[in-house]
Amino acid sequence: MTAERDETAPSPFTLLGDPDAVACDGDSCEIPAATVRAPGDETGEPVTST
Amino acid sequence: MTAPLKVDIWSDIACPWCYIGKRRFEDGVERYRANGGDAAVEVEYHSFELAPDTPVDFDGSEVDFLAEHKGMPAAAVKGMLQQVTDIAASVGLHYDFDALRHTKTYRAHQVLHLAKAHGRQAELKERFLKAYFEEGRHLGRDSELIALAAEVGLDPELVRAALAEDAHRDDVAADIAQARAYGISGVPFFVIDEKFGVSGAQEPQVFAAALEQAAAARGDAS
Repeated sequence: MTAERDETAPSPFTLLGDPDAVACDGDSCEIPAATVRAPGDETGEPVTST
Repeated sequence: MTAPLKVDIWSDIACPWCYIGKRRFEDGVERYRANGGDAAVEVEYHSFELAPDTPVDFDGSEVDFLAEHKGMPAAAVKGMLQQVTDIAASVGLHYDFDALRHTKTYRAHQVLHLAKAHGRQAELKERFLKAYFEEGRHLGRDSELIALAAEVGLDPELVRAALAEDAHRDDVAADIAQARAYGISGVPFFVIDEKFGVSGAQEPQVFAAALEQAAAARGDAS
């Protein structure tokens, strides 16, 4: 299968688990906001890396 | 005898969560067995390039690369990498971002396809990830890819020839096209029996439960 998929279409799979689990997307890998903050940043906003 | 559960995994090598997710998935398979699951689990890895525009050679550290690439202060980057290192350590991995050689993974993916054709993909996937995250090996260089592939039993001349001919270029492209067709934008991404999807480096119990659900779904269908 090589066709482009309509990204607004439902996933072809039954998705299991936490939809917000850590993953890499594009050239960014999300780090859990609860555990990572820039020095002096107390907002807890998500940050990305690698 | 129950037929194997087929797990297709899309992942990149330059992907810290992919290695962590691999460990968690492997733990999940063990838990599935401990819970009485009796189906074999057959794994196939598929190519995914997170950043195709990454240069093969970058003269600097991972901190330098990320600080430059994302416009973030080096101190913030170091803090993030330490967090990832700590999470990796929790699953028995020893990430060394000071030694890591940031590079393009396209040719490594080609060698993984060659390994698949010779029944050595699982061994090479593990070897590549370890080499990249723990040993600071340069996976953008053919000489390194050939040496690492030889360690898992692939003929160096075979690997050299395949790289010279771009023999698995279409296989890498097909995997990426399949991911796009499935709507996969982030990795790792696990597809079980072409019915169930698990996105990201989930906890082991999530994978165990997913395997149990996939096995049960077969029973429902029979």
